[in-house]
Amino acid sequence: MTTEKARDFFSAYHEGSLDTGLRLSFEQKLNADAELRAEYDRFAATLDQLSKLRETPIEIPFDLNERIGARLDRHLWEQKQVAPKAWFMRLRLVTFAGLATVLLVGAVISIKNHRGTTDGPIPAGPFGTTTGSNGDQLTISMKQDQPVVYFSPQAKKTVVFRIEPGMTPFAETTVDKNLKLERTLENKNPETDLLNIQVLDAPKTDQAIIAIPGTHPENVATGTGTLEEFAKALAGKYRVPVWLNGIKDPLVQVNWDFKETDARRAADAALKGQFTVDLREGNLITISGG
Amino acid sequence: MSERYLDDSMLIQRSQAGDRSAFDALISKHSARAYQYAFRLTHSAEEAADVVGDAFVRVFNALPNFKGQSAFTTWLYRILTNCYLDIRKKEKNRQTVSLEAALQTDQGEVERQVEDPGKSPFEESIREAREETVESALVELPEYQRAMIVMYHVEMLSYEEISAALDLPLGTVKSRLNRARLSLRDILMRNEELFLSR
Repeated sequence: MTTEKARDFFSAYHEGSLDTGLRLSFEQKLNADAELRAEYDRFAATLDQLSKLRETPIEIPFDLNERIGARLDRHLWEQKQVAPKAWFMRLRLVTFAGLATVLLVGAVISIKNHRGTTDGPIPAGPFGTTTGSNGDQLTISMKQDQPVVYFSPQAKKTVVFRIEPGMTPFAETTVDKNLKLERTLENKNPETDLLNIQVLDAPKTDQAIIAIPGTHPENVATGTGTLEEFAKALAGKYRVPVWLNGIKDPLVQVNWDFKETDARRAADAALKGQFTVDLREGNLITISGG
Repeated sequence: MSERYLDDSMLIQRSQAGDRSAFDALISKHSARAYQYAFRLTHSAEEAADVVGDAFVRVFNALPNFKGQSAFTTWLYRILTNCYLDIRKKEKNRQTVSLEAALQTDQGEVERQVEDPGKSPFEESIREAREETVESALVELPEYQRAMIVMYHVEMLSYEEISAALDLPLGTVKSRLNRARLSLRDILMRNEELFLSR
């Protein structure tokens, strides 16, 4: 493997998605070339630095929605100004042309009127002044080998934590407007637990479901069950947190047979492209889509 | 239940049928995330708000043709990225004209006077401080690479979602992101060396 080729594999190696043969060949090259090893280490450090970017809060202008609404209203108004001019041009043509043209324009009017009721411009009413949550979302990332949940609402919100969806919350916290919730998630139970984190009044797909391995290793290699049960089995077997991110139906059925050497490959093999599997920094497996 | 907590698909259907309040709810639901993405690309509050405003106008105009083949958010990212690239292209064109064109006057052709591009000591100190951060290194990347890096590492989009948003094959997204990361690493290393040599 050439040095240039090895550089092409930096990302895939870091994410653990190289085939076994390629991975071994890459590692051989890395061990034989100190300069390349230093390059790779710097590359990995860059990815770590990148992951910290999303922790930097960005202040959302308080009037953002009103500004977007005003921009849209202006656009609609401009469209309206253009439309009468076009009609005026048509009518002027009618004045200078003969009867045949009048008949032709008459046909256009008929179509125009018909279109007006189906796909004409949408009337521009007063723009809503909702300045609420603006898409507040729970995000999970790794910090010092532990999953951490982050939440920065634009309005006061309550976040509840449950073991398994549907159960009584065991903890809840209220986050004030523009403050940031940052909570490390740790499972001190022997077995893997499924943690359900939900913002009250938010849609179901915005909840975070994460399987966190317990203190004892588990070795359930095969099984059939819901995606949530699969996440638990995967987390327990490979000792990695598994985040179900924005899944519409976490109760979809999955079969699994863990023969792979790592969690990402095992998830790919079981989910067969039905969901997107990502391995992010710090061994957090994210399953999304579906 | 507030409208902004409704499903995207429901809000889109209602918007397509001419319900402006449903479109307002879509804006309300996605504007903050759109702004954050735009701000990471532009590093300017004004420009970010412009990008988001333009993007939602384009969404409004194109919504009748939206078939839901990709998620609304993926589609929004595509439109935001295009708006950002368009704004940058316009700026570049403007700069090219102002620097290269000669002025025609009564006295014939004269060279255009341009401002000294050197930064003031204050700006220089800010620049130096920012060079230490990944964010300033990101600014040095070509726009397209920057967008991909922000989508993956900050917005947490998967390769598949980026592929759908940018309408690129999955393999191309992966190889371009790898190249973008390598470039970013090189910029960071260069900046560190500059910093250490001062």
